Amino acid sequence: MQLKDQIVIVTGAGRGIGLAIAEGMGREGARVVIGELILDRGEDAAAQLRASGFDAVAIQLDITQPASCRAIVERVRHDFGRLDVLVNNAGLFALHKSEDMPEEAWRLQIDVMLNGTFFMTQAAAQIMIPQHSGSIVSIASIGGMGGWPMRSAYNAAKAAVINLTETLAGEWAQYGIRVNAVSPGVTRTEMMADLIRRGISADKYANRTPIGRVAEVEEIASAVCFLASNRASYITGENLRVDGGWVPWANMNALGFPETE
Amino acid sequence: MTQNVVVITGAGRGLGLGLAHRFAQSSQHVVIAERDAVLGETAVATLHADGLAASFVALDVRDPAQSRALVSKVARDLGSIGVWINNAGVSHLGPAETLPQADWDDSVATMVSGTFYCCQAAGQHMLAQGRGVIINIASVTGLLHEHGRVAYSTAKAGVIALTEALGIEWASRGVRVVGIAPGVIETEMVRQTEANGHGTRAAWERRTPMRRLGTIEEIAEAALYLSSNDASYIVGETLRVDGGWTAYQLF
Repeated sequence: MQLKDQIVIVTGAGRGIGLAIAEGMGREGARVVIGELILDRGEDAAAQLRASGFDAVAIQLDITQPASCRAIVERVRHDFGRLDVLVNNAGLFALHKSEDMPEEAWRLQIDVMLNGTFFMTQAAAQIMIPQHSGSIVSIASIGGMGGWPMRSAYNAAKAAVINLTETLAGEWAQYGIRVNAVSPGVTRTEMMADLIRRGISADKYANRTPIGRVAEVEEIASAVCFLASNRASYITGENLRVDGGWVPWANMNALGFPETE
Repeated sequence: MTQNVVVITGAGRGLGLGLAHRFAQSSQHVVIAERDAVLGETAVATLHADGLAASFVALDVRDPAQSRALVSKVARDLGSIGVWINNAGVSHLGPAETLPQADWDDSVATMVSGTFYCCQAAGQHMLAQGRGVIINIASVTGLLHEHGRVAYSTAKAGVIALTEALGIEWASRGVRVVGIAPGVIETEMVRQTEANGHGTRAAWERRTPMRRLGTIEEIAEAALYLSSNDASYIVGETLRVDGGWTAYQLF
């Protein structure tokens, strides 16, 4: 058990990659705090973890409110006395032609994934710095590593998170805090199911990936758990690409634009 | 004999031997593929003394016939190769304008061509069995450049590109090719670099956000992770294990 008795906050862990991360952390012996905007969803997830014998609770968290980020950290400080790992997973995804993207859609994606990641991380640092220890892993995306039509807000936010990871790693190594990111490729989640309901075929994503299939959430979770743990003790400022080879492939058979109407 | 064997090149000492130790500790039979027979046999003796399973096969990575021969011999004598780690490297440092041709050629021959020939030999074996992991040891020097290292850094940059090219080509056929870019690590090579006047420990520590060199064990842990089924969706990626060296890039 790589994370025995460590206190871990995972944001947006009610489902998808976040839930898989929470489960992975539980399996490694961690005590998991699920931060979720929709508390019911968070509590269902925590109950699921407890049913598997893991230690988990849910706390309501609105990642777009710095005060909410500070509040969840204060709850953790009060209930557990320490914070060992933060996983910034909360995110949302929307496709828009950039010329038509509503102002609110742009602002919300930047607010959740960039501002939310920053303010949640800043809140965690208030405990981790005096503790002189901590490990932070943010979920970025292959979208943050290149251009992708109709995903301008999502990609810009993810690219910023990758850059932020490097800056914070440099600043906080002196406090014994490691800061890393994981960039998943296309992963089998509700987000992806949503795109399929809008008419894009799952095969299209599989065929665009050298490994020939999309990722399963466990494959992303294992990278996060590795980076969070002491096995990665000399790794900081890294963005670990978990994408089946998607990014470095020239791919003569491009996905096609637009991805979906 | 269906044991999964781990082959590590340049494993007679330093990082290579450290990798061998870690993989042997996780109950895998390690083949020390090493050009220097004395180093190779001594390394095997060290592992045996710790109760670990290991054997030595001579290999000069610059000769593709030797890597092909090693693969045949190991497959015949020990079983299928599950992991191959390309760690063999040479460090020829000095001003670029006066770097001897022999130093440039040896750097390319060992780290670029040597890595490719080994990947090809191991790859043919692994593609035939539909599974396998190849790990290429690159370096942060291939990403961020310093004076007096043109041969080493260019070769290591080549290794990173090789990892991507082979990664995308073999991913759908059960073979994962990945890499590690170590930062400055406590090894004999680094001690020699300092002794030869190509840098100081104090300067490297100051430049690293974590303010210390990495340990061989920390690199080995990353290699073990990348070789495992937990890393099943990681392809063509070079994992930096550098204490923040490359992240602290712009200031």
